[in-house]
Amino acid sequence: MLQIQDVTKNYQNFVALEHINLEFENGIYGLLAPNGAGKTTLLKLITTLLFPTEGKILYDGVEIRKLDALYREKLGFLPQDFGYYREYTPEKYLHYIGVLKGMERRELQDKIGQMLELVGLSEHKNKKMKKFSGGMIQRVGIAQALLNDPQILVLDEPTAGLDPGERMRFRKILTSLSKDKTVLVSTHIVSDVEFIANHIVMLKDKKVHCNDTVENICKKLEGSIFETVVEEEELSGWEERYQVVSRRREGRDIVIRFISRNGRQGWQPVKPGLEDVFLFLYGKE
Amino acid sequence: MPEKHCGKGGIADERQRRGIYGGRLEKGEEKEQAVRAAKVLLSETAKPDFAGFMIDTFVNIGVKQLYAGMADVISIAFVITVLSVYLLVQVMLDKGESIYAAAFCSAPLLYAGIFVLSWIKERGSGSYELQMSCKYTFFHVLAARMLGECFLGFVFNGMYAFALALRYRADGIRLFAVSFSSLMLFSLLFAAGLLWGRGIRSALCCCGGWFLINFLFLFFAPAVYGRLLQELPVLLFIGVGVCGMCLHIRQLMSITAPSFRKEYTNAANTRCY
Repeated sequence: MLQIQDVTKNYQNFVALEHINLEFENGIYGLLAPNGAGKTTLLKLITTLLFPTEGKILYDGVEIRKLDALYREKLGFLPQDFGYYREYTPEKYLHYIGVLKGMERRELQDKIGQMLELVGLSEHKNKKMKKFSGGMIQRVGIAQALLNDPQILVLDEPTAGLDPGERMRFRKILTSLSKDKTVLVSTHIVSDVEFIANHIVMLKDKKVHCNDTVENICKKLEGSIFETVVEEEELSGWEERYQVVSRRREGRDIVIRFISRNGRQGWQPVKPGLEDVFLFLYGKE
Repeated sequence: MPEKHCGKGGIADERQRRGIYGGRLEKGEEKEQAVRAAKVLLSETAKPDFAGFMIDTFVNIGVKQLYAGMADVISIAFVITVLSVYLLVQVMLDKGESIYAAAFCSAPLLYAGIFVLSWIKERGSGSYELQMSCKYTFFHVLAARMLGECFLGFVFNGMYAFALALRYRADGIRLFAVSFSSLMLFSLLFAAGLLWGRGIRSALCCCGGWFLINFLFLFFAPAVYGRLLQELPVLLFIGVGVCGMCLHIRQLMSITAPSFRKEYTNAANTRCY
């Protein structure tokens, strides 16, 4: 189990995270927050790229700073800006990363084959990565993160650059892995985690705003999300009065989905989704 | 979990108890076991030693992986070094300086060349974050490469000491000893810059400082410089080189230690590397 105990992180005088308390067990955790909310800092703390200014991060009761290489051996990480060597083939690149991860060379060769198969790059294993598309590069990134069969898998914006088919495939992979691993997915794309995450962690104002299941988080907005039909000229007035989370055109009219504490006649109450919560929390940011 | 008779109520009670609290009890036991195991492993890994460092460097990472994709860097550094050494020797001999002074000044060129070029290439790849999350971090690779560069410099200096000795009928052993001590002093200073300044920039400043001091010394006190290198005992140079090597390996081990990584990342919060 990974525990974050009262962690604060300052960059000189700037406070990036304040008194964060979290516990991660096996399963998928979606870390949702808009850009600049401290997601990446939190992930960097978990992956030992940064050290907390205050507080501790524990893995199975021991500080990760003390576990050092033992902890990193259990870690798989896909950074937001995933660095790679343009002249390398994916096979050569995975071999290099596998060695740095401390994997046995005999085991490594088999594992590279499996990972390339998993991300659908077997046919391209001998092509130089400089010829790859953004989506293919991202798939190599996912493969390297999974290479050492990590106990803790940390993925920072993993679906960036993937097409819808690749995203679906990626979600399938994550779901199959989450049984015996802690998977942490940081994203600002709600649909990436809405249907696969067991827990959602939302950050706001440098603190944990909520940490719960999708169902429980959405319950908090129950009875506050409505849909109604408005004319195009009225739309700006509605946007001023209410937080409009989405709009779609139906003929000459526009159907808006919005948040309001109380319902009125003519407003159709709808079931809140995670996206509604996200926009409710961060809409104005 | 083996079942055992637990006094009052026996197995049935124990089953019931586990039924109610089972998950929590098992989880608690697992956690305790994990903590114990981690503490045992901690005691085993707390002290990085020389053998461990060498095994990590040359066996677990391996020379092939350390310099994978670095053929261009090594070739360019090698060509630059050969040209620089040639020019330096010509210029210094034209000015009537000793061949030993030329050997001393040019000995760390290959080390510095490979380091700077490989660092530029590594930085360009943007793989720092990923490497820092691996068992062998960016610093393990950095330290291992620095050791490798020492070795390459040592071999290269040996070869050119031999070539200079033949060409200029100089004392080959003295040339080799002078270049060896120079390389190791430079490596020491370079790693000290990295450790003290907690950044590559400070190491590069030390590197520039070393060349600058040598050239200033050569410019303002050429006679003293030449005489020192020609007249100090060869054993002294070898002794300085060996001591330098031992200290340098200790420095490299410090670079891979968690404490340095923490200081470095804290200092690097506002910069790229």
